[in-house]
Amino acid sequence: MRPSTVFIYGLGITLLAFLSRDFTSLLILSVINGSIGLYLGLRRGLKFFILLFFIGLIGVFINALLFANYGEPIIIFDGFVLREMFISSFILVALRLFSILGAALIFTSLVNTREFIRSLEAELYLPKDIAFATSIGIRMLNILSRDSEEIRHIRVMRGKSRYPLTPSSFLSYLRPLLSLSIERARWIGIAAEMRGFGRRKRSVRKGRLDRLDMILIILFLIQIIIIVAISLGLT
Amino acid sequence: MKMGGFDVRYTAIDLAYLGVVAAVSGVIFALTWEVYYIGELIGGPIGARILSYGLWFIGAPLAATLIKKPLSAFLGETLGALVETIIPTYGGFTNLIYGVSQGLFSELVYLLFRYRRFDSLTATLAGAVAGIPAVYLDALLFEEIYPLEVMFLILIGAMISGGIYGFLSSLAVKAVKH
Repeated sequence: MRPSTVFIYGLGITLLAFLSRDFTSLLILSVINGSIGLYLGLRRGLKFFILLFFIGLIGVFINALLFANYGEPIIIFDGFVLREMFISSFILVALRLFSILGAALIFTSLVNTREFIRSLEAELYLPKDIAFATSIGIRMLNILSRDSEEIRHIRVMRGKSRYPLTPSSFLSYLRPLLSLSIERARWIGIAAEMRGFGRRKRSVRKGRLDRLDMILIILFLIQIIIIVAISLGLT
Repeated sequence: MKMGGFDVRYTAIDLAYLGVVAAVSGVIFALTWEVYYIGELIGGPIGARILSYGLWFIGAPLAATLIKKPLSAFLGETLGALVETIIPTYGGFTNLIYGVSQGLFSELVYLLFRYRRFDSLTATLAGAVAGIPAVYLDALLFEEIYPLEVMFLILIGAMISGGIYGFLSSLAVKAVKH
């Protein structure tokens, strides 16, 4: 399966979730993508990521309760009233977020990072300069995550907060991170120039789409057709 | 390469800087979810934006202050968002959509100054204006929940936060380059 196909599918589903306003469209998106994404995500051990989503839903619930609890009462218990706008708002937003989660889980579960880096230029036709910068960024993630963890550890040892919660703590966190990274970047750039980066031709991968690519494309098209039909009032 | 009369030539070192800004931004963007949740516990949706949103806008002022070339702001924010999407984080592909939109708005600031200023003023403005598309996209995601007056306060909070962190990003780059 091509990483570019999964990337375009994930991005497309997220855009559809953003733009869909009605219950039926969001239900279709969330059922299809949420269930596939959950299945793949649990197989890949992304339980913590999925747990974060449900924790986030608590925030959505509270915000809906504070700002959208009006209309006819629907649920009443112990003097606590949940009204129709709260129910519909919460459900719509939850379905939207669940679709987005599903798209993210599908991408994360099916795509290998190295293959994705290669596909940026070869399949997605990003200019080679942008693909080069992106590949450096992705490859440096592990190193930077380690640097970031060390800086946060030292902050805790010095009695500061682990996370930069104020502007001054952000500055004390960012400066060492940048300092280390810029030095590395300078030498990466010099090495690339010495190897003739400017003369390198763009690499393009031509090839047919395999069965899994076709399944994903057809699934995407089906969802678009259904959602457009719903929005045009054809169903 | 000429783009609308502006010379856009990136060396391999510029691109390496861009890659590093993308990675630094991506790591900070991923961490900002925790800051966001803490902010929401303390101050609700408005407090969360004031505390955290500026952190999600720093890719643009960081890259622009460091590289000082056209498109650096847009690329810094967009590539940082792409890295955050791959990590992955709670936002999934929405991170990329937000990143592209925020990057475009930040880039407009430098364009308005005709790419002659890459200082703390432009970094502050670039951070602040990124709040506009961010809150608009929030409205698309959550419109059923927040009334208009709350969205307005959220916008102010996001722009203030963006301005502060844009300014700080420029200070950090200047401190490191010296």
